[in-house]
Amino acid sequence: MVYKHTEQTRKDCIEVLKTQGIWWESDITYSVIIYNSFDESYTRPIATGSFSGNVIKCVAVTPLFEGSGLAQRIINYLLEELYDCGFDNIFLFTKPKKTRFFTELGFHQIAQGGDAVALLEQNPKGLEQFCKNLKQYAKIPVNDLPVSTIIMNCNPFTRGHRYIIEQASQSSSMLYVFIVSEDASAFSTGARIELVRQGTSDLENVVIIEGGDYVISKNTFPSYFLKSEKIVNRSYAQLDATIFAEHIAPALNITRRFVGEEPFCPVTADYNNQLQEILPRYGIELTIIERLAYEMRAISASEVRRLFAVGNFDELTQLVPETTMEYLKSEDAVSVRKALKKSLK
Amino acid sequence: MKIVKTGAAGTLESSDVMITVRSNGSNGIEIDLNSIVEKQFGKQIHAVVKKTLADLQVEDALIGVQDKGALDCAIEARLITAVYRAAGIEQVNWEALS
Repeated sequence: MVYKHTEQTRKDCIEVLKTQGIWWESDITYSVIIYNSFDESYTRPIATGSFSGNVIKCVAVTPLFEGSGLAQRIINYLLEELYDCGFDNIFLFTKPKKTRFFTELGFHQIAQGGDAVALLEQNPKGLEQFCKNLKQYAKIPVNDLPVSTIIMNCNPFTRGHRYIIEQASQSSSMLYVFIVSEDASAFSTGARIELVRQGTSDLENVVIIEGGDYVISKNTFPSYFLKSEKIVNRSYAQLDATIFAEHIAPALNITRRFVGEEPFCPVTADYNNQLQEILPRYGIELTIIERLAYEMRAISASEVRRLFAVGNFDELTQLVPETTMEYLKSEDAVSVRKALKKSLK
Repeated sequence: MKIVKTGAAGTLESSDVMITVRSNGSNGIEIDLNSIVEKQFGKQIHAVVKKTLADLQVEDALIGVQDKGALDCAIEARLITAVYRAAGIEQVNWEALS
């Protein structure tokens, strides 16, 4: 039996997942559940699988029914639905020891994070093509300073972000700025990127690139977007850091990565620790930049969002550059403000 | 036919095949075959896929083939459907195919 996911079936999913020691994740949008047909009331779930965006996860079969082809059927249903949604590539999370099962179903391993999690994709050349596309941004360095990168959300672009980018660009020959492309943020990906572009257009050695599927996305680092669950998931952080070090950095000859110092968010702070551990193994240096303070407090984008929601434009001018201010006052930002106001209540 | 998006057809059931067709720039035809009978019929499957693509005048595509022991006719049918989906064409002219 197959059902589209509802609140009632959520419990059934969790019951199956528990038997394999897998956590339910709150961002799941669609699930498939198979019930035991020998039990006529169809109340005993024996297999399940889910997805969030274009990522399949939380796939499990109860131990008694393992090896009966149920997982394959689950994947089949999920793929059908996902291709109907029009996704070009489909990702899958599993435990490293289960990857062989999924490679036989046409998935290709991208990387693994510790012993806990592996990320696979359907497109045999997905990551390869992404890195190839990156090379079009590559510019020949003008001096001997290191080629650097920084990955930011910029939700929205503040004077704090500007400061970090400026600092980083001064000590680099080239600075590639990746903007996380998830529309889980209050400001849309397009708007966020545009504001960074405008706010840094005077810096010649800075290139702004959309992060896409492989740079701190829901795929490479789900717990970053599931902060509300307070699960600091080390393996996901390792997974993301590994993909960056093995694939993204070599494509652009990056030898140094900047991160902003993180006094507020435990997930990001822990991620920085993982980077510090992993990147040097690949010959990439990690540099932490202190945040720009305004009246003794570090500028944070969440503070900017709060001030914007309540309409305190006087204080905002202190925290965001003119280009961002213009956008916040524009017609385009009205709906963003409404949504922010709602989420504050 | 020009491939404009990702199209898939078929299932992972026994005796069936799941085929995904993706755009491949101008890098020609590339086939990523994964079959339980690859040792015995790998060459044959490649030949069927290539011939069907030639018939459909597909020049550039990245083809994923997850074969669970499908017959040639099943491979051909799944591939035709996947190509049409990947080309964004809703109406299939079946008469022209035979």
